[in-house]
Amino acid sequence: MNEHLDDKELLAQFKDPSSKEKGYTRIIKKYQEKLYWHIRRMVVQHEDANDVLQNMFIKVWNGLDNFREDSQLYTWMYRIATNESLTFLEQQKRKSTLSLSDEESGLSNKVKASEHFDANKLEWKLQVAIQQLPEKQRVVFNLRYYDEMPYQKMSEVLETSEGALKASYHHAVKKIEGFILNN
Amino acid sequence: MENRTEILNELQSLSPTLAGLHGVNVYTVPNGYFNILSEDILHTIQLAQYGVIYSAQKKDTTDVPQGYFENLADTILAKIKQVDNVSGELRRLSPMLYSVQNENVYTVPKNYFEQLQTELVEKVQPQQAIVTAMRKRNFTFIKYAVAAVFIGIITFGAFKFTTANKLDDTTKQGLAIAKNNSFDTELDKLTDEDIVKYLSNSSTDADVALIVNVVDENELPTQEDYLTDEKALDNFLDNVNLENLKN
Repeated sequence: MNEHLDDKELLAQFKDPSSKEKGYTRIIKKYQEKLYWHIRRMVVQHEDANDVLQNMFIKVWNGLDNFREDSQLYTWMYRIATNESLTFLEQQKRKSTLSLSDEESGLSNKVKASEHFDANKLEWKLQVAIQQLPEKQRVVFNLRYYDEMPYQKMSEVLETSEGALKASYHHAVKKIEGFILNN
Repeated sequence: MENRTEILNELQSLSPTLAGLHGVNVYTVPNGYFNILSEDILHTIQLAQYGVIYSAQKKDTTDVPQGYFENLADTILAKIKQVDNVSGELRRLSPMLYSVQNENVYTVPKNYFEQLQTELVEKVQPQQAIVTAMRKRNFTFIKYAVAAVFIGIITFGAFKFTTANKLDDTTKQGLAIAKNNSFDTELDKLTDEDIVKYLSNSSTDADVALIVNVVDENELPTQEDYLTDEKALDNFLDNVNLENLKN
């Protein structure tokens, strides 16, 4: 029954020193899968996704005391997850001193290195196509396509206008479709 | 705010192909991963709070070993117990020692640490090679060279100014040296005393002055010449103008 507590109740538990860890654990359990998959689609490999997710939740722990409840916990955590993913990719890029396009093709290679990868299957072609997108456009596409996030919420997460997000998503869909049809 | 149906309709209108793939997840996650994730993160936070840096071993693989996540929390807890907290351990063992743990009774000279870096840099910088000027020619060496000239004169003088019928032992010996080409060997056998004795018996200061005058110092073989060419002295003597000596 506790798993169905809403965010306000979870935050109240977290801010009470006697139930801080319990409240925090429930926040993790409530959002871990959505956030994990959001990160995983960005960084591709599980190990990397796990690292980013854990760092992201540690930042949540450190920042939750000062979290202003005028924005939603869900939106706030998605923003942290997105920023952590992009930071991770940036670090990877710097480490390997690859150019952006090389990094993107690097992510494609990671997709292709997946255990069950099958280049003939449409769902795998889709994954390779997603990695061809510029990072920000990839985030927009993933949030909309997989998380079915309304533009309004996405606008809060990415601090971008709804119009720009809509245009970005439409471009992304067309690019991906073109890639799939041509490959 | 848009609902799910509106979002899917938008996708359907943009790309029926992508709409048809909607909901397909090609990635997998290890069994039980989400069951222990919160514990895992809490342990990491606890480790960080105790000042222990947690660094998960990262493997560059696309899959996670079977059972990894089921055991992860236990593994981390075991590590926590192993590592323990240094301060906590000291506090338990000796509250007195713990209370003075951060008291430093030692001092360092003023500005020691500020100057240390500069000093170390100076020490580790490669030192310039010591340049030693080589003496052009040592006067002592000239003396020996002059002595060598005398030996040569003995040999060549004997050869030139004596007849075959009147050869004495010294001349014979000189001819033998020339014949065997053992000049250097014989020269090595001469002592300073021999040279002095020879000069006092058979020459005058004028002779020495004459020889020195005849010999061009710049044409004297150098030390390197002796080392690289065993005939250096022979060649030099061959070039000495003996006519000047004779006159």
